Amino acid sequence: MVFSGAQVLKRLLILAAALALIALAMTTVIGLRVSNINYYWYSPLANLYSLAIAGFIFSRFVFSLLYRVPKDAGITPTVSIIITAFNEEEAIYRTVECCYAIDYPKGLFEVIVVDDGSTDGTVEETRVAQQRWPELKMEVFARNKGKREAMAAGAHLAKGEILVYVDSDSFVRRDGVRKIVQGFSDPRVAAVAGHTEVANVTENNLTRMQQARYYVAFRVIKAAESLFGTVTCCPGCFSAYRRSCVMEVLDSWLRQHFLGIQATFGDDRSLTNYLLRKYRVIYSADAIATTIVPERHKQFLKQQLRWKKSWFRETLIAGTFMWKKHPLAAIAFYAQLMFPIIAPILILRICLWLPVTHGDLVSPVIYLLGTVMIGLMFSAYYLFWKADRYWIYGLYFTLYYIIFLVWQMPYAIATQRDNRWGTR
Amino acid sequence: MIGTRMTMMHHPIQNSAQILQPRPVRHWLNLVWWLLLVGVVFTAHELPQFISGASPPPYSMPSAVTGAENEAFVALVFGKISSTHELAISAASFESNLAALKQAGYSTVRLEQINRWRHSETAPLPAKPVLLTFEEANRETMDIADKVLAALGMTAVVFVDVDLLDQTDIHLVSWHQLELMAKSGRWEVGISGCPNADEQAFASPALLAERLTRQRERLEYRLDVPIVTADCSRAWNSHVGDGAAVWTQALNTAALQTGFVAAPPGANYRNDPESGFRRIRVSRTWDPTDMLAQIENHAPRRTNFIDKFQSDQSASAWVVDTGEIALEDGSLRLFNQIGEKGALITLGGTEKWRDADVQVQLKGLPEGQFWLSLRHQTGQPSVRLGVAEGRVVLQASDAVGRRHQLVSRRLASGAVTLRLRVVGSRAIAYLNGQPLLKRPIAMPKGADQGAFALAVWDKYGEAGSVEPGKAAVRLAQVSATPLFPKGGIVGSAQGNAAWEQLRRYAQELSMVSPSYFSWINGKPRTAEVDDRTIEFFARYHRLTFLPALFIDADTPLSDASALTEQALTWLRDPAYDGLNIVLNSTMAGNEWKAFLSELNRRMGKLDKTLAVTLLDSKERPMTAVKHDHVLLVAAHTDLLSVGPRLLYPLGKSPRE
Repeated sequence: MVFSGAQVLKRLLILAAALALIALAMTTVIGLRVSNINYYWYSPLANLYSLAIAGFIFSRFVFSLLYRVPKDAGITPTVSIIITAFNEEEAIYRTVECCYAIDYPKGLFEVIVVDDGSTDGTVEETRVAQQRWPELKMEVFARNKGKREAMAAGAHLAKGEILVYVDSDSFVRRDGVRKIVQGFSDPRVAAVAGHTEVANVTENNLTRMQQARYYVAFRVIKAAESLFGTVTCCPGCFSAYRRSCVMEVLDSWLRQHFLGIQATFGDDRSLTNYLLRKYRVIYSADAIATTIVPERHKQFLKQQLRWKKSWFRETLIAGTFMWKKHPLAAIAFYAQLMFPIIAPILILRICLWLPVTHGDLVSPVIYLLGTVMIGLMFSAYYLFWKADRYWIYGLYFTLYYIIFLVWQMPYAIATQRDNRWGTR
Repeated sequence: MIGTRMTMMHHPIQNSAQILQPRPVRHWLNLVWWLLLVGVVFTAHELPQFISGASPPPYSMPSAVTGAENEAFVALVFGKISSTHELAISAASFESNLAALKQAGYSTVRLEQINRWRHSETAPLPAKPVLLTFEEANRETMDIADKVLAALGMTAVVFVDVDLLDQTDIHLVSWHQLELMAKSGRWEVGISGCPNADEQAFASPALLAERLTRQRERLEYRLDVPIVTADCSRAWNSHVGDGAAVWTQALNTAALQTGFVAAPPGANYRNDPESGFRRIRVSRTWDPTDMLAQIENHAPRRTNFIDKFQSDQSASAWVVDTGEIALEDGSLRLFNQIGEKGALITLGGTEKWRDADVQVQLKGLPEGQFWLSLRHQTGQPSVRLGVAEGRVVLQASDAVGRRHQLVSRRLASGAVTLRLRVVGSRAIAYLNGQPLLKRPIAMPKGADQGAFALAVWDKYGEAGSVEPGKAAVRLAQVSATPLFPKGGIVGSAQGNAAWEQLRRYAQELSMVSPSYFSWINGKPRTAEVDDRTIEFFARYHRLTFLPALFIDADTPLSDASALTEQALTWLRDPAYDGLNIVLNSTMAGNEWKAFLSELNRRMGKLDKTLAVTLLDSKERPMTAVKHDHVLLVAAHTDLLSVGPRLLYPLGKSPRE
């Protein structure tokens, strides 16, 4: 691709602006953290939280800079692409089409669709696809059994050395599979998380916010975890697993109970956890898929609540073995376990309790300033790498998180035993 | 329900065998990383100290106890110390002042030392004791002060308001920092007892006590050290009644041993009320010389003072209450400031003077009135000698402020030298070396002690409109000699020789003790006295009349009870002001002290005075001073303020 002089100049200006924003945000945040240190003992818990979360975020950025995508080892293991579908009549055909369009040797991959008892035209759409690609395997549940069962059925049906799970509303890029399998050249790797972007990014502000959020979550958080082989969640939309490793844990995973209730959501995070106990789980930034994200707030909030419930459950479980991992990974893991739990309490204290009881209006301002700067840092990071106009939505998402999402965690913990899916 | 599996065309894929069999992570290798991390953290923590070789800040070590100065301690109070705030004491100034303090031989003392010293004769304070206090736990102040204290091995007290600490005001130290300070051994913590905003707390002792108790309990819980003191840096507000009484009662209820109040600067003597310790506020403009001069001014003065005002430094001994002083042409000029009707200065360190002889030489007559007074305490009974409207005047004022004119004599032209001699319960005034009266005047009741003070006064001026210098005096020379109580022990019947000696030393004595009583072999003995001339002599010269009671050295302690009752029986005679108990020094142990204390307590209820004279074990003269038939004894300076008063023999045995 050849860029014109104006394009190069524009790109350089964007880079400079992004770096300036990052510098501004980092300087402000560091300044605030210095005051946290200076005045640490005046409010130890709040200051510890602020320092820890800033340290965590900075460490994510630093580690993500050290992150390198898995080397192209040139391997082409046999791959089974498993698409689990439930009422996805509009997207399933396109998903299957993307799978067959991949840049991967014929005969070395297969595509399997597992229909989880859809009540719409998903099965019919799949059959249409089967007309076009006769080798497409398909399993249809007579009733809805849950995604976990569908994934397991796919695994049983699969013949490939690598299982690539793709959500029925996700679309793998042509080189996605070829790149994602490169991580398995390391025999310690049991799973590789692909990079996911938002397919319907142009739809509305909510999807744009999710685009920024996805980018940072993958390119920063997962990249940092990947440095130590401790990615805690291979997303269902596009991830690859070593089949032999999955088969080791499949039965346990299927029978997973938590607090006496069968676990029926957070299947991707749960399966990752099972593998992480023994193996490495990494992230492949160049193995890209796109996915359709919720376009309505209600739907989005339900999805986020479900994710938080599974996050809480699986993080507690992972806490039982994460101490065995590299210290930097383990410390970060246990630290971030506390953040979402403490955050609501702290926000209430800073933004409500202190102003009302102490007349302290400075603390809320400082807190919000720090939050905005961290959000700005995420945005600037996005701008630096992506250079598109959605960068500012990273900041918006941070504010959205503070206003809406942070309050979900107490509810998610309280309703841990409620295993309804929520968005279906 | 059974699912269906549909595959229209099956193309089995072949395993490529390109990837290796999975191999679990060897987690034990991470143990190396963990160990490395712990090592890094440990090194980061310990390395700076290892490299610098610095040891932790020294804990305060009590200075060697010398007993050289056991009468009082001086407390300093510091406000804000800052490196940047221009109205605060600068960090450099603070450091240099404290270094100078140490170099000058002052020892910082802790409150616990002071409490021990106050309640035990065997725990004297070190030489030149000084207590450093900070009225507020300001963060910057504490940071600066703690470093200096650590470097100099000094200690201090800081007063904190728990309510403010709980508000996590970042201008104050945090609880954690306060805990570290308390643990360092350099800091004692007291309660900031009366914040300005809390007027209501003084509405009743109960309210204030509740506040102090709450603060004490919080501090003791957090710091795990006993909290024994509180301060109130502002003057009592009259609308809440007797603030001093409220304060004292509240301290007692809150189980706080000591309190610091807003009082005129001065030293704190052993018998001062524990609830009202006074402090000297350190000014931000003081250099080390100023600070040492201020402290020395307020240190107890027990030596002669003579000033001819020939040196620039000579005025430093004076504490200016109001008005101004200036050294001009070899004289001290004392004058009022604009808007004030007069000026008052006291000689530093004389506030606990009992007996003294002071002399003031005037350079010309004063503008307005000039007064010299001894045992001066504002609002208390006193005697003053002065010059007013061309006359020399001697006045006494009583407890309710009534003033009695005792002498008023027209002044002849020429030099004026005033002298006032106060001994025991009497005073003698002199003009140009001649007594103004033939016999001493009685000191007003309640004028037990007080400073030597000089004052000028414009009687006709109105406050607020007086011009500066309207009340002024020039002093050519001032001398002041502290005197220690002396008593004369004489036989029960006096011969001519004894009378001659008594008359000769009458002006030096504060008491006379005829040998009326004794306790020998467990039996009381009373001398037969027909002649009461000695009593008349004592009354005429206004000497305290304390018959002597000799207690035999072999008297067992079991006699103490009977002895006490007998002594009280003897004391029923209204002619006796009290008793002078003569003991062998071998009986000066704690057992007999308990007897003396109990006797003193019961005599106090009868408004009688107890004196104690100690003889050496062989009842031999302890000094070379000899006066036929009269044993002159004087108070030992070290024990001057200890009750009961102990008198050591300077002459020969009284039995001779």
